[in-house]
Amino acid sequence: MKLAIFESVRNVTKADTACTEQKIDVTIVAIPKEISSDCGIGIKLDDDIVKDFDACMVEKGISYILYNY
Amino acid sequence: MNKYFDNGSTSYPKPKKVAEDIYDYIVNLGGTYGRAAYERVIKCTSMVESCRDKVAQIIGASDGANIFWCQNATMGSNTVLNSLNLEGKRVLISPMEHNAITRPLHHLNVEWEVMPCFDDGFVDVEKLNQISKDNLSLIIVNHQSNVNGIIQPIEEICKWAGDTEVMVDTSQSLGHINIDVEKNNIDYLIFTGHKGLLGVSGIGGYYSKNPRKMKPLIYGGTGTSSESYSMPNSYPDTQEAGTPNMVGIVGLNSAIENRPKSQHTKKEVFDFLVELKKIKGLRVLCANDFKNQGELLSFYSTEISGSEFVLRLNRDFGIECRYGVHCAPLAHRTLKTLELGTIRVAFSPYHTHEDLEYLLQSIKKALI
Repeated sequence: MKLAIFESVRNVTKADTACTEQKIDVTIVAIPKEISSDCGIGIKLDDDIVKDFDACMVEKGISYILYNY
Repeated sequence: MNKYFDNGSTSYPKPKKVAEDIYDYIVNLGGTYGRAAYERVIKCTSMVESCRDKVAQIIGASDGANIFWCQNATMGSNTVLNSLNLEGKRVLISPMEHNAITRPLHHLNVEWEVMPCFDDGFVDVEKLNQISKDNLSLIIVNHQSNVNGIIQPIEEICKWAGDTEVMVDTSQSLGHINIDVEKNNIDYLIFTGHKGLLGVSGIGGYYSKNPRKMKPLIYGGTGTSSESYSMPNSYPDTQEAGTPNMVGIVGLNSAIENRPKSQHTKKEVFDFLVELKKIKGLRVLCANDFKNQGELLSFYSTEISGSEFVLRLNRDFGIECRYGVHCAPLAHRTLKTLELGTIRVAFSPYHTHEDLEYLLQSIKKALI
Protein backbone atom coordinates (compact mmCIF):
# COMPACT_ATOMS: atom_id res chain seq x y z
CA MET A 1 0.00 0.00 0.00
CA LYS A 2 1.19 3.53 -0.80
CA LEU A 3 0.28 7.01 0.36
CA ALA A 4 0.54 10.03 -1.92
CA ILE A 5 0.86 13.40 -0.29
CA PHE A 6 0.39 16.75 -1.96
CA GLU A 7 1.38 20.31 -1.26
CA SER A 8 -2.18 21.54 -0.77
CA VAL A 9 -5.71 20.39 -0.04
CA ARG A 10 -6.66 21.69 -3.47
CA ASN A 11 -4.26 19.27 -5.12
CA VAL A 12 -5.65 16.34 -3.10
CA THR A 13 -9.13 17.02 -4.48
CA LYS A 14 -7.78 17.59 -7.99
CA ALA A 15 -5.95 14.25 -7.80
CA ASP A 16 -9.01 12.47 -6.39
CA THR A 17 -11.25 13.90 -9.14
CA ALA A 18 -8.74 12.91 -11.83
CA CYS A 19 -8.54 9.36 -10.45
CA THR A 20 -12.33 9.08 -10.37
CA GLU A 21 -12.53 10.23 -14.00
CA GLN A 22 -9.95 7.62 -15.04
CA LYS A 23 -11.49 4.91 -12.84
CA ILE A 24 -8.38 4.58 -10.68
CA ASP A 25 -9.50 3.29 -7.31
CA VAL A 26 -8.02 5.47 -4.55
CA THR A 27 -9.12 6.67 -1.12
CA ILE A 28 -8.61 10.00 0.61
CA VAL A 29 -7.22 9.43 4.11
CA ALA A 30 -5.87 11.47 7.00
CA ILE A 31 -2.07 11.50 6.78
CA PRO A 32 -0.33 9.68 9.63
CA LYS A 33 1.70 12.18 11.62
CA GLU A 34 4.84 10.04 11.34
CA ILE A 35 4.79 10.51 7.57
CA SER A 36 4.13 14.21 7.20
CA SER A 37 2.13 17.15 8.45
CA ASP A 38 2.43 19.03 5.17
CA CYS A 39 -1.16 18.36 4.30
CA GLY A 40 -3.81 16.95 6.59
CA ILE A 41 -5.16 14.60 3.96
CA GLY A 42 -3.58 12.45 1.27
CA ILE A 43 -4.45 9.64 -1.11
CA LYS A 44 -4.07 5.94 -0.33
CA LEU A 45 -3.57 3.53 -3.22
CA ASP A 46 -2.70 -0.10 -3.85
CA ASP A 47 0.81 -0.96 -5.03
CA ASP A 48 -0.45 -2.40 -8.31
CA ILE A 49 -1.98 0.88 -9.49
CA VAL A 50 1.00 3.15 -8.75
CA LYS A 51 1.94 3.27 -12.44
CA ASP A 52 -1.57 4.27 -13.53
CA PHE A 53 -1.79 6.78 -10.70
CA ASP A 54 1.52 8.37 -11.67
CA ALA A 55 0.52 8.60 -15.32
CA CYS A 56 -2.71 10.28 -14.29
CA MET A 57 -0.88 12.80 -12.07
CA VAL A 58 1.66 13.57 -14.81
CA GLU A 59 -1.17 14.11 -17.29
CA LYS A 60 -2.90 16.54 -14.91
CA GLY A 61 0.33 18.26 -13.83
CA ILE A 62 -0.16 17.43 -10.15
CA SER A 63 3.02 16.85 -8.15
CA TYR A 64 3.10 14.49 -5.18
CA ILE A 65 5.40 12.43 -3.00
CA LEU A 66 4.80 8.71 -2.53
CA TYR A 67 5.34 6.95 0.81
CA ASN A 68 4.97 3.36 1.92
CA TYR A 69 1.82 3.06 3.98
CA MET B 1 -42.81 43.73 -11.58
CA ASN B 2 -39.21 43.88 -10.35
CA LYS B 3 -38.74 47.28 -8.69
CA TYR B 4 -35.37 46.47 -7.13
CA PHE B 5 -32.69 48.54 -8.85
CA ASP B 6 -29.97 48.51 -6.19
CA ASN B 7 -27.97 45.73 -7.81
CA GLY B 8 -24.88 47.93 -7.60
CA SER B 9 -25.05 47.38 -3.83
CA THR B 10 -26.05 43.74 -3.96
CA SER B 11 -27.94 41.62 -6.43
CA TYR B 12 -31.55 40.65 -5.87
CA PRO B 13 -33.13 38.30 -6.57
CA LYS B 14 -30.66 35.44 -6.70
CA PRO B 15 -31.29 32.31 -8.77
CA LYS B 16 -33.75 30.14 -6.81
CA LYS B 17 -31.29 27.24 -6.92
CA VAL B 18 -28.86 29.32 -4.82
CA ALA B 19 -31.30 29.26 -1.92
CA GLU B 20 -32.06 25.56 -2.47
CA ASP B 21 -28.38 24.57 -2.55
CA ILE B 22 -27.59 26.64 0.55
CA TYR B 23 -30.53 25.02 2.34
CA ASP B 24 -29.32 21.59 1.23
CA TYR B 25 -25.82 22.38 2.47
CA ILE B 26 -27.05 23.50 5.88
CA VAL B 27 -29.61 20.73 6.38
CA ASN B 28 -28.10 17.75 4.61
CA LEU B 29 -24.46 18.18 3.70
CA GLY B 30 -22.71 20.36 6.27
CA GLY B 31 -19.02 19.74 6.55
CA THR B 32 -15.89 21.81 6.38
CA TYR B 33 -13.07 22.34 3.92
CA GLY B 34 -10.07 20.03 3.74
CA ARG B 35 -9.72 19.27 7.43
CA ALA B 36 -10.64 15.58 7.46
CA ALA B 37 -10.97 12.54 5.20
CA TYR B 38 -14.62 11.50 5.58
CA GLU B 39 -17.01 11.76 2.66
CA ARG B 40 -18.88 14.85 3.83
CA VAL B 41 -15.66 16.87 3.96
CA ILE B 42 -14.40 15.45 0.68
CA LYS B 43 -17.63 16.53 -1.04
CA CYS B 44 -17.41 20.02 0.46
CA THR B 45 -13.74 20.37 -0.41
CA SER B 46 -14.36 19.29 -3.99
CA MET B 47 -17.19 21.81 -4.26
CA VAL B 48 -14.94 24.64 -3.00
CA GLU B 49 -12.25 23.73 -5.52
CA SER B 50 -14.78 23.32 -8.32
CA CYS B 51 -16.11 26.81 -7.58
CA ARG B 52 -12.55 28.17 -7.55
CA ASP B 53 -12.05 26.66 -11.01
CA LYS B 54 -15.31 28.18 -12.24
CA VAL B 55 -14.22 31.66 -11.14
CA ALA B 56 -10.85 31.08 -12.81
CA GLN B 57 -12.61 30.17 -16.03
CA ILE B 58 -14.79 33.31 -15.88
CA ILE B 59 -11.76 35.59 -15.62
CA GLY B 60 -9.61 33.70 -18.11
CA ALA B 61 -7.15 32.18 -15.60
CA SER B 62 -5.95 28.74 -16.65
CA ASP B 63 -5.30 27.57 -13.07
CA GLY B 64 -7.75 27.91 -10.18
CA ALA B 65 -4.79 27.83 -7.78
CA ASN B 66 -4.30 31.52 -8.59
CA ILE B 67 -7.71 32.34 -7.10
CA PHE B 68 -7.97 33.06 -3.37
CA TRP B 69 -11.14 33.27 -1.31
CA CYS B 70 -11.83 36.07 1.12
CA GLN B 71 -14.85 38.07 2.24
CA ASN B 72 -15.21 40.49 -0.63
CA ALA B 73 -13.34 42.62 -3.15
CA THR B 74 -12.38 45.10 -0.43
CA MET B 75 -10.57 42.40 1.51
CA GLY B 76 -8.98 41.28 -1.74
CA SER B 77 -7.79 44.82 -2.40
CA ASN B 78 -6.38 45.12 1.12
CA THR B 79 -4.57 41.79 0.77
CA VAL B 80 -2.99 42.69 -2.56
CA LEU B 81 -1.99 46.23 -1.54
CA ASN B 82 -0.56 45.03 1.76
CA SER B 83 1.49 42.40 -0.09
CA LEU B 84 3.22 44.95 -2.29
CA ASN B 85 5.92 47.19 -0.98
CA LEU B 86 4.54 50.46 -2.29
CA GLU B 87 6.35 52.82 0.05
CA GLY B 88 8.12 55.51 -1.96
CA LYS B 89 6.77 54.07 -5.21
CA ARG B 90 4.40 55.64 -7.70
CA VAL B 91 0.88 54.27 -8.06
CA LEU B 92 -1.41 55.30 -10.91
CA ILE B 93 -5.15 54.80 -10.50
CA SER B 94 -8.17 55.30 -12.71
CA PRO B 95 -10.33 58.41 -12.10
CA MET B 96 -13.33 56.29 -11.00
CA GLU B 97 -11.86 54.33 -8.10
CA HIS B 98 -13.92 53.22 -5.12
CA ASN B 99 -12.90 53.62 -1.48
CA ALA B 100 -12.01 49.90 -1.56
CA ILE B 101 -8.88 51.11 -3.34
CA THR B 102 -8.29 54.65 -2.13
CA ARG B 103 -8.74 53.99 1.59
CA PRO B 104 -6.20 51.14 1.77
CA LEU B 105 -3.76 53.23 -0.30
CA HIS B 106 -4.31 56.19 2.03
CA HIS B 107 -3.81 53.94 5.06
CA LEU B 108 -0.54 52.71 3.56
CA ASN B 109 0.57 56.34 3.04
CA VAL B 110 0.71 55.80 -0.70
CA GLU B 111 0.17 58.95 -2.73
CA TRP B 112 -1.53 58.14 -5.99
CA GLU B 113 -1.72 59.83 -9.35
CA VAL B 114 -4.94 59.78 -11.36
CA MET B 115 -5.07 58.80 -15.02
CA PRO B 116 -6.13 61.43 -17.55
CA CYS B 117 -9.73 61.03 -18.65
CA PHE B 118 -12.68 62.48 -20.52
CA ASP B 119 -15.52 64.20 -18.65
CA ASP B 120 -17.40 60.90 -18.24
CA GLY B 121 -14.42 59.35 -16.45
CA PHE B 122 -13.34 57.22 -19.41
CA VAL B 123 -9.56 56.94 -19.39
CA ASP B 124 -7.87 58.90 -22.18
CA VAL B 125 -5.48 56.23 -23.41
CA GLU B 126 -3.63 58.56 -25.77
CA LYS B 127 -2.75 60.89 -22.92
CA LEU B 128 -1.38 57.97 -20.90
CA ASN B 129 1.63 58.16 -23.17
CA GLN B 130 2.52 61.51 -21.58
CA ILE B 131 2.90 59.84 -18.18
CA SER B 132 6.35 58.69 -17.14
CA LYS B 133 6.69 55.11 -15.98
CA ASP B 134 9.77 55.87 -13.87
CA ASN B 135 9.37 54.26 -10.47
CA LEU B 136 5.77 53.42 -11.40
CA SER B 137 5.01 50.34 -9.35
CA LEU B 138 1.32 49.66 -9.80
CA ILE B 139 -1.62 50.65 -12.01
CA ILE B 140 -5.13 50.19 -10.62
CA VAL B 141 -8.23 50.21 -12.81
CA ASN B 142 -11.87 50.02 -11.84
CA HIS B 143 -13.33 47.88 -14.63
CA GLN B 144 -16.87 49.27 -14.40
CA SER B 145 -17.67 52.34 -12.35
CA ASN B 146 -20.15 51.94 -9.52
CA VAL B 147 -21.26 55.55 -10.10
CA ASN B 148 -21.93 55.95 -13.82
CA GLY B 149 -21.28 52.43 -15.14
CA ILE B 150 -18.44 53.44 -17.42
CA ILE B 151 -16.39 50.48 -18.67
CA GLN B 152 -12.70 51.27 -18.87
CA PRO B 153 -10.51 50.23 -21.83
CA ILE B 154 -8.70 47.49 -19.92
CA GLU B 155 -6.99 46.03 -22.97
CA GLU B 156 -5.46 49.36 -24.03
CA ILE B 157 -4.45 50.28 -20.48
CA CYS B 158 -2.76 46.90 -20.01
CA LYS B 159 -0.93 47.30 -23.32
CA TRP B 160 0.33 50.71 -22.22
CA ALA B 161 1.30 49.32 -18.80
CA GLY B 162 3.82 46.93 -20.33
CA ASP B 163 5.90 45.48 -17.50
CA THR B 164 4.24 47.61 -14.80
CA GLU B 165 1.90 45.56 -12.64
CA VAL B 166 -1.84 46.07 -13.15
CA MET B 167 -4.65 45.42 -10.68
CA VAL B 168 -8.28 45.41 -11.84
CA ASP B 169 -11.31 45.89 -9.60
CA THR B 170 -14.18 43.88 -11.10
CA SER B 171 -16.67 44.43 -8.26
CA GLN B 172 -19.34 45.81 -10.60
CA SER B 173 -18.36 44.12 -13.82
CA LEU B 174 -17.82 40.43 -13.14
CA GLY B 175 -20.81 38.46 -14.35
CA HIS B 176 -21.80 41.26 -16.73
CA ILE B 177 -18.65 41.94 -18.74
CA ASN B 178 -15.97 39.55 -19.94
CA ILE B 179 -12.40 39.93 -18.79
CA ASP B 180 -9.34 37.82 -19.57
CA VAL B 181 -6.48 38.11 -17.09
CA GLU B 182 -4.04 36.06 -19.12
CA LYS B 183 -4.72 37.64 -22.49
CA ASN B 184 -4.33 41.11 -20.95
CA ASN B 185 -1.44 40.15 -18.66
CA ILE B 186 -3.31 41.37 -15.57
CA ASP B 187 -1.36 40.79 -12.36
CA TYR B 188 -4.14 41.12 -9.78
CA LEU B 189 -7.91 41.05 -10.02
CA ILE B 190 -10.34 41.51 -7.14
CA PHE B 191 -13.94 40.34 -7.23
CA THR B 192 -17.05 39.91 -5.16
CA GLY B 193 -19.60 37.11 -5.35
CA HIS B 194 -22.81 38.91 -4.50
CA LYS B 195 -23.17 41.48 -7.27
CA GLY B 196 -22.95 40.54 -10.94
CA LEU B 197 -22.22 36.91 -10.15
CA LEU B 198 -25.56 36.69 -8.24
CA GLY B 199 -24.17 34.86 -5.21
CA VAL B 200 -24.64 35.81 -1.58
CA SER B 201 -22.70 38.45 0.32
CA GLY B 202 -19.62 37.56 2.37
CA ILE B 203 -17.75 35.71 -0.35
CA GLY B 204 -15.30 37.24 -2.80
CA GLY B 205 -11.67 36.94 -3.58
CA TYR B 206 -8.74 37.87 -5.72
CA TYR B 207 -6.55 36.54 -8.49
CA SER B 208 -2.79 36.82 -8.41
CA LYS B 209 -0.68 35.96 -11.44
CA ASN B 210 2.21 35.17 -9.14
CA PRO B 211 0.81 33.88 -5.83
CA ARG B 212 4.31 33.58 -4.36
CA LYS B 213 4.38 37.39 -4.14
CA MET B 214 1.31 37.47 -1.92
CA LYS B 215 1.53 37.90 1.83
CA PRO B 216 -1.27 36.72 4.12
CA LEU B 217 -3.52 39.44 5.50
CA ILE B 218 -4.56 37.18 8.36
CA TYR B 219 -2.78 34.27 9.99
CA GLY B 220 -4.15 31.05 11.45
CA GLY B 221 -5.03 27.43 10.91
CA THR B 222 -5.17 25.91 7.44
CA GLY B 223 -5.32 22.21 8.24
CA THR B 224 -1.84 21.91 6.75
CA SER B 225 1.67 22.10 8.25
CA SER B 226 -0.11 22.18 11.57
CA GLU B 227 3.01 21.65 13.71
CA SER B 228 4.50 24.91 12.49
CA TYR B 229 3.75 28.33 13.97
CA SER B 230 4.31 29.79 10.49
CA MET B 231 1.83 29.79 7.66
CA PRO B 232 2.43 27.04 5.06
CA ASN B 233 4.20 27.98 1.84
CA SER B 234 1.74 26.12 -0.36
CA TYR B 235 -1.06 28.05 -1.94
CA PRO B 236 -3.97 28.69 -1.80
CA ASP B 237 -3.49 27.57 1.83
CA THR B 238 -0.97 30.29 2.65
CA GLN B 239 -3.62 32.96 1.97
CA GLU B 240 -6.66 31.23 3.44
CA ALA B 241 -6.34 30.95 7.22
CA GLY B 242 -9.45 29.79 9.03
CA THR B 243 -12.50 27.95 7.78
CA PRO B 244 -13.74 29.51 4.56
CA ASN B 245 -17.26 30.85 4.11
CA MET B 246 -18.77 27.51 3.09
CA VAL B 247 -22.32 28.85 2.74
CA GLY B 248 -21.03 31.69 0.60
CA ILE B 249 -19.06 29.37 -1.66
CA VAL B 250 -22.01 26.96 -1.98
CA GLY B 251 -24.14 29.93 -3.02
CA LEU B 252 -21.58 31.28 -5.46
CA ASN B 253 -21.05 27.87 -7.01
CA SER B 254 -24.77 27.50 -7.50
CA ALA B 255 -25.18 31.05 -8.83
CA ILE B 256 -22.52 30.45 -11.47
CA GLU B 257 -24.05 27.11 -12.46
CA ASN B 258 -27.56 28.51 -12.65
CA ARG B 259 -27.06 31.96 -14.11
CA PRO B 260 -30.28 33.11 -15.79
CA LYS B 261 -30.39 34.44 -19.33
CA SER B 262 -30.92 38.19 -19.30
CA GLN B 263 -34.56 39.16 -19.72
CA HIS B 264 -33.65 42.45 -21.37
CA THR B 265 -31.28 43.46 -24.14
CA LYS B 266 -28.42 45.92 -24.19
CA LYS B 267 -30.40 47.95 -26.69
CA GLU B 268 -33.28 48.24 -24.23
CA VAL B 269 -30.86 49.65 -21.64
CA PHE B 270 -29.52 52.15 -24.17
CA ASP B 271 -33.06 53.09 -25.22
CA PHE B 272 -33.86 53.63 -21.53
CA LEU B 273 -30.84 55.93 -21.25
CA VAL B 274 -31.83 57.92 -24.31
CA GLU B 275 -35.33 58.47 -22.89
CA LEU B 276 -33.92 59.30 -19.46
CA LYS B 277 -31.70 61.99 -20.94
CA LYS B 278 -34.75 63.67 -22.47
CA ILE B 279 -36.35 64.33 -19.08
CA LYS B 280 -36.28 68.03 -18.24
CA GLY B 281 -34.52 68.86 -14.99
CA LEU B 282 -32.69 65.53 -14.87
CA ARG B 283 -28.95 65.09 -15.31
CA VAL B 284 -27.86 61.60 -16.26
CA LEU B 285 -24.39 60.29 -15.50
CA CYS B 286 -23.34 57.69 -18.03
CA ALA B 287 -20.76 57.09 -20.75
CA ASN B 288 -20.50 59.62 -23.57
CA ASP B 289 -20.30 56.67 -25.94
CA PHE B 290 -22.74 53.86 -25.13
CA LYS B 291 -20.24 51.25 -26.23
CA ASN B 292 -18.43 52.05 -22.95
CA GLN B 293 -21.61 51.81 -20.86
CA GLY B 294 -22.41 49.06 -18.38
CA GLU B 295 -25.85 48.30 -16.96
CA LEU B 296 -25.52 50.80 -14.13
CA LEU B 297 -26.02 54.58 -14.14
CA SER B 298 -26.69 57.56 -11.94
CA PHE B 299 -28.82 60.66 -12.17
CA TYR B 300 -29.86 63.67 -10.16
CA SER B 301 -32.50 66.34 -10.35
CA THR B 302 -31.65 70.00 -10.80
CA GLU B 303 -34.99 70.83 -9.12
CA ILE B 304 -35.30 68.64 -6.00
CA SER B 305 -32.79 67.17 -3.60
CA GLY B 306 -31.53 63.63 -4.08
CA SER B 307 -32.90 62.72 -0.67
CA GLU B 308 -36.41 63.88 -1.60
CA PHE B 309 -36.17 62.36 -5.09
CA VAL B 310 -35.19 58.89 -3.86
CA LEU B 311 -37.86 59.08 -1.15
CA ARG B 312 -40.55 59.81 -3.76
CA LEU B 313 -39.33 56.99 -5.97
CA ASN B 314 -39.58 54.54 -3.10
CA ARG B 315 -42.68 55.83 -1.30
CA ASP B 316 -44.81 56.55 -4.35
CA PHE B 317 -43.59 53.94 -6.82
CA GLY B 318 -41.89 51.21 -4.76
CA ILE B 319 -38.57 51.75 -6.54
CA GLU B 320 -35.61 50.54 -4.47
CA CYS B 321 -32.38 52.32 -5.30
CA ARG B 322 -29.59 54.18 -3.56
CA TYR B 323 -28.78 57.86 -3.17
CA GLY B 324 -25.42 59.23 -2.08
CA VAL B 325 -21.74 59.15 -2.93
CA HIS B 326 -21.65 55.35 -3.26
CA CYS B 327 -18.30 55.13 -1.44
CA ALA B 328 -16.59 56.61 -4.49
CA PRO B 329 -15.61 60.23 -3.75
CA LEU B 330 -12.86 60.17 -6.36
CA ALA B 331 -15.36 59.18 -9.06
CA HIS B 332 -17.66 62.00 -7.96
CA ARG B 333 -14.79 64.48 -8.05
CA THR B 334 -14.11 63.34 -11.60
CA LEU B 335 -17.78 63.77 -12.54
CA LYS B 336 -18.13 66.98 -10.48
CA THR B 337 -21.01 65.57 -8.42
CA LEU B 338 -19.34 65.21 -5.03
CA GLU B 339 -21.39 68.00 -3.45
CA LEU B 340 -24.70 66.66 -4.76
CA GLY B 341 -24.42 62.90 -4.71
CA THR B 342 -26.46 60.85 -7.19
CA ILE B 343 -29.27 58.34 -7.36
CA ARG B 344 -27.97 55.09 -8.77
CA VAL B 345 -29.81 52.32 -10.56
CA ALA B 346 -28.28 49.03 -11.68
CA PHE B 347 -29.95 46.31 -13.66
CA SER B 348 -29.86 42.56 -13.18
CA PRO B 349 -30.57 39.76 -15.65
CA TYR B 350 -34.02 39.49 -14.05
CA HIS B 351 -35.15 42.93 -15.23
CA THR B 352 -37.54 42.94 -18.16
CA HIS B 353 -38.29 45.66 -20.69
CA GLU B 354 -41.45 46.38 -18.67
CA ASP B 355 -39.39 46.89 -15.48
CA LEU B 356 -37.19 49.42 -17.27
CA GLU B 357 -40.25 51.19 -18.65
CA TYR B 358 -41.82 51.30 -15.17
CA LEU B 359 -38.63 52.83 -13.78
CA LEU B 360 -38.56 55.44 -16.54
CA GLN B 361 -42.18 56.47 -15.98
CA SER B 362 -41.66 56.51 -12.18
CA ILE B 363 -38.71 58.88 -12.53
CA LYS B 364 -40.76 61.19 -14.75
CA LYS B 365 -43.72 61.23 -12.35
CA ALA B 366 -41.52 61.66 -9.25
CA LEU B 367 -40.21 64.92 -10.69
CA ILE B 368 -43.65 66.45 -11.16
